[in-house]
Amino acid sequence: MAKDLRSFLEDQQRCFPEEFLTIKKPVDPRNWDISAILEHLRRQGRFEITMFEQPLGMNGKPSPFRTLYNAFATRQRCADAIEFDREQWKMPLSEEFGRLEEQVVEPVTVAPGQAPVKEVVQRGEECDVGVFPGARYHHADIGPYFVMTMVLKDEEGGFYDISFAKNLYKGPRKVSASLTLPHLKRIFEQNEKKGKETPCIIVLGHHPAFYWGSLALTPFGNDDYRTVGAFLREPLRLTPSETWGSDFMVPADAEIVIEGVMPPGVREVQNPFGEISGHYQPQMLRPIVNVTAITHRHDAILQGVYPGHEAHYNLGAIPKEGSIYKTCKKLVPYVTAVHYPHSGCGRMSCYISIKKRQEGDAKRVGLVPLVESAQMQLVVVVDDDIDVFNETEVIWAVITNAQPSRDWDIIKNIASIHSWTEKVVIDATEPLDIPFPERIKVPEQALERVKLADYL
Amino acid sequence: MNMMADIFWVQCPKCQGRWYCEGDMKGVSNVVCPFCLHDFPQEESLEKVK
Repeated sequence: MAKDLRSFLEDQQRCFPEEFLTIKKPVDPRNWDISAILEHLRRQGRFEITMFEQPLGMNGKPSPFRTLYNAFATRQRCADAIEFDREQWKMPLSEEFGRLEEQVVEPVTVAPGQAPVKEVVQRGEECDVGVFPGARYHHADIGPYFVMTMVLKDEEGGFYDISFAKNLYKGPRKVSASLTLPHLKRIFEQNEKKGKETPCIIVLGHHPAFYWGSLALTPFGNDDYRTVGAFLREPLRLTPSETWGSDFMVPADAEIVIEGVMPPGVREVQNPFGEISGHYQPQMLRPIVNVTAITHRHDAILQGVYPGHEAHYNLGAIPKEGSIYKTCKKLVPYVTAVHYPHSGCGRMSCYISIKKRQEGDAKRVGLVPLVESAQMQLVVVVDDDIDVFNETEVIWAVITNAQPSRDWDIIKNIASIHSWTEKVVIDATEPLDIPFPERIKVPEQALERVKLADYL
Repeated sequence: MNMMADIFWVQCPKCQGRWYCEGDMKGVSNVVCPFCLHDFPQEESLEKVK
């Protein structure tokens, strides 16, 4: 049986039933009910996979669909999604992501009659995206959104690009398309210059490995359906779309697929929307999607991501950690670990540990994440006896090892997402060129000899 | 180290809600209040667009 969201949920319920929560009472996602529940849980340190059984649709009527959150909210669960040992949730997990992003598995085609996502098919006037329980998450969000992935096909290159995107509900057959990420934007703008509309699909629920494959740091021109196969560890099953047939293939085992076209030269208002940085993304003009078809399972589950919180952070952090670790290793083999902490939203700060050989090693490594991503703001480099996944240890090293005038470098006039800014690299390794105090430690021999169980 | 987004603030003449817009929108189109969905020209903003 092919992997899908249901097979993942069955595995999770069987192996970790205590990590699964069902909300049976009705909720109104347009009225912040879902984010309020997720926020209450979060404040208690709870990140169960949370299924809402009776949400209202974006049209205000009871939705026939369920909606699911927190599939990506813990690193252990992220490991489960790619069939990796959840106990190895620190650097080994990131390294595994880095390894998988270099692999491809060719997709296979199945007939529409064998595709669960085709159990219900609606075309043209029959379509109404308002039946789905998209949500409003933060107080100034302008309306309910879908927060999952869009797929575009590059006509000339013949490849599919899958990227996370958000879609604001604008009517029964219209949503916005944020197209913040550069690959989707590039395909749309190529078509727009030629006066052509851009076909697209929105995938609202699949096995989490489908989404991890979409996040691999692959170059423009990569066929992401092949990369998804590497993360699924089996071929992704595809089936012809309703709108374009085999000219645009869609994931056969998805929960819901919305097909549509983005007309050239059309922009409409979307946002404010509470985003990953913890601020509202401003109101802006963005392309729209005119819906041409909707296909879904009979009892489809709409998957969502609670924006600007743990699941959202992990989606950015883990693939980048693996990718940056590989890049650093090629340049400077003494790198031992890389972490993108939640305090930097999984994107804007990076902690790197190294086995330092000489002064200047830390600076050399510290520049790499700034080059890789325009979002990166702060890089801290520490010695390899510091656990970069333990922020208390990292900040201890900054406070006790680094001298700001010597070890903090401000990189001026460097490109950021919006324009240019200043970024910082901190060398928090112990200096080798001056006498320096020794770090305290309990002898390893004592830790091995004294077994805690013998004393409790 | 802040992200230095190019934004301008507006205020809804109907419900007095305040929010901000991307700089590229300045003088280009109407704005829509996220709190009451009132669609209005930027000149009608209670907070002067600057």
